[in-house]
Amino acid sequence: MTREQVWDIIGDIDDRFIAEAAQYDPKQCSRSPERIGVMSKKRIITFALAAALILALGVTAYAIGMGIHRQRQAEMRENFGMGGSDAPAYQEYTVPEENTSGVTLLSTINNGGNQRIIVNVSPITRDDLALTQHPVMFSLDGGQTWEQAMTAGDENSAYDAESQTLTVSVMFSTEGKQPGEEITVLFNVNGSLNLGSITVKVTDPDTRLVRFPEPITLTNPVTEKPVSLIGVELRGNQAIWMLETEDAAYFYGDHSSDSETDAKLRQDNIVTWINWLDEQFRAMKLTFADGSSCSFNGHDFSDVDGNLVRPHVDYDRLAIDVSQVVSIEINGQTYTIR
Amino acid sequence: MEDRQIINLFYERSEQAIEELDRKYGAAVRKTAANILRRTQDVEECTNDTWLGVWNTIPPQNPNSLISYVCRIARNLASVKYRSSTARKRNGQYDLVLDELAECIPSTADVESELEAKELSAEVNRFLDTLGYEDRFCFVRRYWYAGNSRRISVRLFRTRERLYRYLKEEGLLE
Repeated sequence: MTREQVWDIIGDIDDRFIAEAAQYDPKQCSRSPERIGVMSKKRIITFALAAALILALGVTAYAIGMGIHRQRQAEMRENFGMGGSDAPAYQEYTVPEENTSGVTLLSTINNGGNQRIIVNVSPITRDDLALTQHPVMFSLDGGQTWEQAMTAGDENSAYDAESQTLTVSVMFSTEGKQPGEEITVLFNVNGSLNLGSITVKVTDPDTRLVRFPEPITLTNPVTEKPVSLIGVELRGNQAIWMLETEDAAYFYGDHSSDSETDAKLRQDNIVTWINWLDEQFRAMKLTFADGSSCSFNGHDFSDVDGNLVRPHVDYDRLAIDVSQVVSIEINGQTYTIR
Repeated sequence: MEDRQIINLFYERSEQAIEELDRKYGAAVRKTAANILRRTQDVEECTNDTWLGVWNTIPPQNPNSLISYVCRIARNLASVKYRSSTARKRNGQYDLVLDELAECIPSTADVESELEAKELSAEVNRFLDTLGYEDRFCFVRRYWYAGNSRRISVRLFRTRERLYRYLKEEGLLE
């Protein structure tokens, strides 16, 4: 089945499902009758045992004994795949033990071009959230331009009703800024209530440039011409690969004057090329000095300069310590790096 | 403001209608577009085109669900823009979303006519009705809104398996 067919079939689903999924409603979960109805007795016992075990082990300590700031830091670390790993580009801040209102800086990450900060903001009411999933706005350095902060997850995972705290993520450009430079970020709710501000220091992007002594040659799946993998810039939260291909202009150039047939063919070829790139990245692996490893997701987008294509590729976790990478596995071959 | 009041403003050809629509559903529309398009500029263009699309179609249209109506327009416009963009601007994540589902509905179910596609859509609707709220929410967020969440991948995997079995039982797959 082609993507277009999938798109059309799913595009035709009922309005009620689309409206329902526009906003998460935790109340609906407890109302859903089949959730209880289909649960067998054995399963109920399993659930009860699991719950008792969790309590006995104290795993939920952060949920019942920890303030919302520490709780969210722990959850974010887990969600980002940061458990146990140490990455200089990812920093957590000391937060109050108790729930506090206003703005609380939880963590930050710098990827070399942007800085992302995760903050808890309070008070946010259910009414604020009913209006939009992303009710928090931010502006930088006292500017008059307000942008939407992204709610970090769905309402169920990002909102704590008891403390009226919402966890949000803010991204801004660090272009022209040096590590240690301070940026003030102001927050409000739905453009009205001012929540306060925080000052955050631009952190070190933590990058490492790796150039292969000899280019690694791959084959373009569309033109069957060689594609040379010449190196990679390892950043704290992203790798930027460097590929040289004669076909860069074909895939990335402006072809607005193409005939309809040529445009259609090129679109199909672009899809083949992008999927092939993603396959290559997903098959690659980084190994760290302690023997652990990390893989890649598909690429986000590419910078292009002449024949040089630089796809930006996320790791399978939020951030890594680039100084600890000792080898890269590509096409089943391991390349040691210094 | 209630949806009905906003629709009335469109019928009165009041420009306040766009302001109210943006205030109420701007975030949902931007998010729908941003899941498909990568560049902020494209998302903003798509959002503005969506407001224009709503302005041009209400009246005569009188949607029962305003949020579904505007998100549908945003999704379609974003898709057109996406398909016409070069690889530089493409969002690999979005192709992945479609591929996930394409794998679940194998090529034996290739739809050759519009009628067959409609039949398959109707079955997907019936399947969604059999799901609990959370499974349905995750499925529609992922495959209609093209959302991205690592937290729900296992749940989605199981739902896709259920959809595959459901379509097979209904005789739509070999």
